[in-house]
Amino acid sequence: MAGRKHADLREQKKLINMPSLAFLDAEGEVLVKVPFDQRTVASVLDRGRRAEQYVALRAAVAAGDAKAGAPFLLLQLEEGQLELEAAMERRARVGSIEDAALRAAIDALIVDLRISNELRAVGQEELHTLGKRYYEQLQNGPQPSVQVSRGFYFAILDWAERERNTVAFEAALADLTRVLAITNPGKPWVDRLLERYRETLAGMRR
Amino acid sequence: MNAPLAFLFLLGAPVVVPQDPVAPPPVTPEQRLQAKLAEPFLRQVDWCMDFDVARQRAAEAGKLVFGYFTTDGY
Repeated sequence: MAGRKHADLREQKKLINMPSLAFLDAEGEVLVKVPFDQRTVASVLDRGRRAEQYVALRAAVAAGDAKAGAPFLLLQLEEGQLELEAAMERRARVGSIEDAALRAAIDALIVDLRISNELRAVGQEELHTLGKRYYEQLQNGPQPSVQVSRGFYFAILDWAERERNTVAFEAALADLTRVLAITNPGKPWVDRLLERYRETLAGMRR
Repeated sequence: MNAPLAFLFLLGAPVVVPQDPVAPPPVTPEQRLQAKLAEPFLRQVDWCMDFDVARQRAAEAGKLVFGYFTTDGY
């Protein structure tokens, strides 16, 4: 509240939801946020345990425990605490990761971070300029996670439509369909969106 | 580790009418803050309203802070 002590604390901590729930350490650092759609008692308790895990892993990394590096990096990436440059630097420092699932999760989140940065940099109007490279990435990897911004697919679709590349358009649409079935199952807007793209594809073929 | 959900702190102001049905609705930010603080869910635990104090208490107890961040109008 304006005029009160710490009136701008929420902004300082980059807590955008209203209200925001978060676990912090005694230094005031935000460790784990409670997502807006997970405000149940069970979920808050679960996030609290995650915050405890965060503290334990951070301490282990500080103590030189090499095995803690990768899980701590994953936790920080999942909590959105790292910018791309810092994430890549940390990933390089962690080195090889034996656990294939852990390695894939970390690398996918770094790919997501890069894609998010690129999408932000070009904006909606220039989305298509990323399309060719993203199509190559869709074919050859590294693959983004299913949580990545839909902008990844929109960029390919925009570019493919401009190029009248029905093969690329169809491939991107198929993957977007797969991803939305996971992230937004049963949402009416998904059906409308996909139907519009199918109509565009049919038009490109005519 | 055993460092659970420690000191709760609440920051900000918010909405909602006091429990007294004949009381006038809160108008100023301070009134809205007091009305919010009177809500049952906030009265069930001992919220610390001062971030520095919450941090100090967490440090002394070796616990984390569970924060509820809000602002006037929410």
